[in-house]
Amino acid sequence: MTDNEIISSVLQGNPNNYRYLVEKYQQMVFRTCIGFVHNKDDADDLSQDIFIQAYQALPRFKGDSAFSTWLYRIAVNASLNKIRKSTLKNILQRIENFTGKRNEHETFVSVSTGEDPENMLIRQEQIEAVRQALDALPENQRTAIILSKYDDLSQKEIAEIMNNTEGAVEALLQRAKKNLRDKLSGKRKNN
Amino acid sequence: MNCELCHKEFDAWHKDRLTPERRDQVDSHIKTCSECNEYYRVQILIDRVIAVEKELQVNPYLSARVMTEIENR
Repeated sequence: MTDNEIISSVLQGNPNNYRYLVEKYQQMVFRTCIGFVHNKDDADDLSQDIFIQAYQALPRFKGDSAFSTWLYRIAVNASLNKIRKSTLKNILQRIENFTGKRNEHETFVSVSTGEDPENMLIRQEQIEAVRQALDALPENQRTAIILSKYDDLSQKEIAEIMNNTEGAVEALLQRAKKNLRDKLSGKRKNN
Repeated sequence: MNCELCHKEFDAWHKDRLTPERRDQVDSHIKTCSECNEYYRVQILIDRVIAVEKELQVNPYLSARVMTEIENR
């Protein structure tokens, strides 16, 4: 059955067939969630919420775009809502951790000319620095980079999900990469 | 090879999709340009961290949990 056939079936009184859509897209949704929350348990819970939201919204799915595009939009919006609800205490704690370790991060990431980038090793502090740099991006840049890097989507696909042009998505990705480089190399330039 | 082109070639370079000639050009550039060397190192670091997270698998009981939740509503 195609996605649209499954959706028709669910809407015609066979809710159990929704399971096929969940099983087909669960890893895709989970991967998007993990890009936003960086925690498996939170991503699992968020994925569950997203599929329930999608089920409830299914009567409003018009088929103007692919089901996967529609589902991505729900996943992105739910993920952004989730991170917006993070407590102020948590945000302040993470900022404090990040700025407190900045010099250490600079040491790990900074380079000397001639070094071979392929031979870098990853340390836990670097992992945390990357996550925090991703989290510090403006929402539209963060969304574009997650859909690009975590979901391996093309600029065209990202543009459709974000209701934007390909050119705008390309610009968002370039600004995101520049911001990440600036943050991870200790520079203070932003946006 | 200039810096702007070097930045644009990162994904192809990292996925080993450049011609040998172009790869040599990029390799030569990042050995002598500290800014592009730094750019490549940061992008590699980001990709490696993301690769670790992408290996995580969704809870195998997710669909059962979702369907139970739907049935209970």
